Amino acid sequence: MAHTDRTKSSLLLACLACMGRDVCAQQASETAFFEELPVVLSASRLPQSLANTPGAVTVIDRELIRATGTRDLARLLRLVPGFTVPQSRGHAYHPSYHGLGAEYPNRMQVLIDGRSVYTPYFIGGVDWAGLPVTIDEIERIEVLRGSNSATYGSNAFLGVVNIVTRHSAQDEGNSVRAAAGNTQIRDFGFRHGGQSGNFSYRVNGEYLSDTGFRSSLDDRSGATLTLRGDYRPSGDQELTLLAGVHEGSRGFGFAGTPANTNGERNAKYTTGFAHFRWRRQLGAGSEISVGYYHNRERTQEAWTVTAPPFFPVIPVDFDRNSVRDNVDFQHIVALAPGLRVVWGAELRRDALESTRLFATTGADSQRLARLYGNAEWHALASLVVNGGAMLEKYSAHKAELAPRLFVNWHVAENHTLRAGASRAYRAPSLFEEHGDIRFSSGGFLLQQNFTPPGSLRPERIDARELGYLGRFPRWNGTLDVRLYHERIVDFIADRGVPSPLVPPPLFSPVTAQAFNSATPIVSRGVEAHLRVRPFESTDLLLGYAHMRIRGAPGSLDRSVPGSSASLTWIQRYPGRFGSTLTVYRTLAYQWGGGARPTPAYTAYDARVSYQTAALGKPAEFALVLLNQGRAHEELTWSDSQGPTVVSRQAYVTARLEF
Amino acid sequence: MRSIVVLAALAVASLPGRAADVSIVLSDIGPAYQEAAQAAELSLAGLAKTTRIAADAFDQAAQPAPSVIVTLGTRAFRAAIANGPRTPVIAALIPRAAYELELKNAPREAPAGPSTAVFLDQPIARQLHLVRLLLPTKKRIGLLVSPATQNLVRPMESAARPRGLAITHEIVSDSQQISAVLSRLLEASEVLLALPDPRIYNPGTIHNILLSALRARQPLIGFSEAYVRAGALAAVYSTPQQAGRQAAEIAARAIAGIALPPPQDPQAFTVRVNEILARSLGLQLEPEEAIAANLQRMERER
Repeated sequence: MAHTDRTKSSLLLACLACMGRDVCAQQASETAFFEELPVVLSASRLPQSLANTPGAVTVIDRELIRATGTRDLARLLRLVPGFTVPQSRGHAYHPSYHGLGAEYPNRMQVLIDGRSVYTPYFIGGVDWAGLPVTIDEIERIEVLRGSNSATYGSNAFLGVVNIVTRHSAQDEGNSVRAAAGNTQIRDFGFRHGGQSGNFSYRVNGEYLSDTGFRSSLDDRSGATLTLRGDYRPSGDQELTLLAGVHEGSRGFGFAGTPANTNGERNAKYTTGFAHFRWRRQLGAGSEISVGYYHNRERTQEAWTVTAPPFFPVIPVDFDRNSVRDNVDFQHIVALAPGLRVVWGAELRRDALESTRLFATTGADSQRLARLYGNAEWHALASLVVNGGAMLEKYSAHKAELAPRLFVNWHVAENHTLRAGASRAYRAPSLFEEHGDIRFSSGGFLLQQNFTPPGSLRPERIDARELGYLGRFPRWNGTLDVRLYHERIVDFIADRGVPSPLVPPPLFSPVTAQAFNSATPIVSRGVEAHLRVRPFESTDLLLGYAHMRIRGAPGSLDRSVPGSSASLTWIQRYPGRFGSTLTVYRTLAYQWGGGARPTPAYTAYDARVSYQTAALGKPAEFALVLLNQGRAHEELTWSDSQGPTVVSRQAYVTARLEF
Repeated sequence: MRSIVVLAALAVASLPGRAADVSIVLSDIGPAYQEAAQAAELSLAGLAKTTRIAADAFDQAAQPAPSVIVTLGTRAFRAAIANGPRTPVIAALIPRAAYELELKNAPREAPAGPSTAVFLDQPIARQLHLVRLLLPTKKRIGLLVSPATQNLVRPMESAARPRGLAITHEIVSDSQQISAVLSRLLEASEVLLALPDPRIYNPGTIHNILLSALRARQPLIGFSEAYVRAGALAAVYSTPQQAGRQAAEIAARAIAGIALPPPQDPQAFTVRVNEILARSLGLQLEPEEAIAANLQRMERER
């Protein structure tokens, strides 16, 4: 009973220390034992165990994001096997999974908290530099490698990048951070979070700026402001509001191009969104949620082409506006022990305005309706079956069904084999189907850059995979190996055709037009992803992919490097020092959309950090080095002057929490 | 159950003239108190006449003294000892710390009669056994404590060591700092064990705690069913019925003239697990009943 006296005295002390009597009374009563609590880890918050997932998943968590010191989200995808992340002038990243990408890779879905940021813009795809999200608010990025249309719809044709932000209740307090370095890096960011009763909120702000490549106009500056509020009217309900804006400017073009056809200019980007979600827990493992979001994007990109004496001033622009409204409903239900079903429906409207992209109509829009269901069934203790499908209907096309079936077999404890097959469709984007770009001066049609194809069929992919997931408790590690075979028919690409409208002798009569490729594409390969923590202080990540494409139009067979690999070593030292070293190796590849071949390269990123509480509050200082090693060549468009060579970047960062 | 029958016979034999009276004092009208009262009444049926009384209405002097008082909750216990009853008091639905504090603060002028308690807190060994059963590979148990619960760290440590487990703890002195303190703890721990400390664990903080733990892929072991619903991996606790029955058994002995035993840990308990979370963490767990049976076996073997 020796500790009983201590119990009494410290309880008294605690009570003396209490500010209010209520707390004291509560302290020494049974309330805590019978208190109702809000349902926090509701069904939709719980990721499926990797061993039961229908497919391969790479998770980039907050620690890893911070350890890399990255300022650009797209760069993180270089750590994911199977990804190629070309970078070109105008601070543009063009990541794609399994290649087949051009200027706007459009076969991969990107979601932020379930909100699709796959833009209806231009050819479709994602504007990575203009995402209205700050790096600081990201909890984790789940990369679902492989076709995932049965759950995420048509845009998840090749894969999904799922960005999940932190719950506002996790971020009470304030932080500020800043970065400065060569290439005129000047960043500033802040966070403020608060809580009051059932309501918590957070505001994040970020300003990023640098001049990028030295070899071409690549500067960018942009500010992002996001807001999140979570309100719990009762223990089993939660209302979440997310909103954000991004405004930025990026430099494009070259000085002295003939007739200034690709003249220097600044493109201005404005994006904004508002997203509501209501969740209600219905019982153990069951949940319904209803969501609505509104995305808005606006780009202004204008310059002047001069072709004296006849056409001294030809105004050129690629201005565009897009608006998306989306409502969704989802129901997760545990039908029986070991049988869980997720089903839902979604309605969407995309509208795109651009007199440049749609020369005759000036605008285009489409509607989308989806109905989906997926079941996770633990058929045996060692066998999990995931089966499901999505029925999707775009306004201009007939409904398509995308089914998927996966079997995960837990061969032994910590060792899982999986096999799966899926079929998916990608509807042509508004631009692929109706894009009509014309440049005129004084009533003369000088050039038609893009001609509508009349009609296009959706692309179809049949994907099969065999996978292995091993856990190695002794090394604190996981190994995922994936063998894939993807066959794509009716692949949509564009090709040069003679324009029916432009009179030949003066300007180029050739115009681009989207078409369905007659040859099926076969994409095959093997990927591996290893993450181990052999010692408490050490993390090692290894990604490797070997990929082949046959049958793709143009140069797209070469759009995957034969092999690519990345190795990341994170080390924590006594005394609060830390270091990260990443090595990338990519063999030569040639991106689509008129890109020149990109030679093979090896590059290094490094970061050294020091954490301290010397100022009375937690603080972290770091030095980050990017693109080290021999300066390598990145994506160069054939219209640009000279190769695009990366700049070695070095910057210091400081972060203070208070 | 058999012991109650024997005791009932004893009680009837020893008090032939008059049926025993048991007052059951409830802190509150909440379901937990009602359920415990009902369970106690059922156990005492035929053995004693039971009367339910609200703690606010409890007045020792105003009625013929009962043979035994069973109090449910801290307020009820406070009310029962306030007037220094001569009758034995059996406190249930009360945490150990609250029981000890109430005894200490009881008015001196009227010396309290004999009392005992059935604590709400699960014995440390049982909680550690649960961690070992559910997560045999996890060795480092993280505790988030406040100055009020800091004293629990040492007994936890002494109980953990012989079982091959280690306790790592962090002290939260200001609830504003939970985030920072918790992330420090999660760097060192492998599983979190929640303590009934409302300064740390309450409906306002549970989001932060569970989401941060999930990110670190560390399960939380709670101390009530509400924790399992909220997102803890499992909880071991005694239901109000179980506590009510245990208190009634002591009451039956007291009626039979047997002296009150010392305050005791809850004997019967319930295990709940969050299967969906377990699956998400890639854990294969046994059914709840099997885990409870294993825990009982481990306690017998000690």
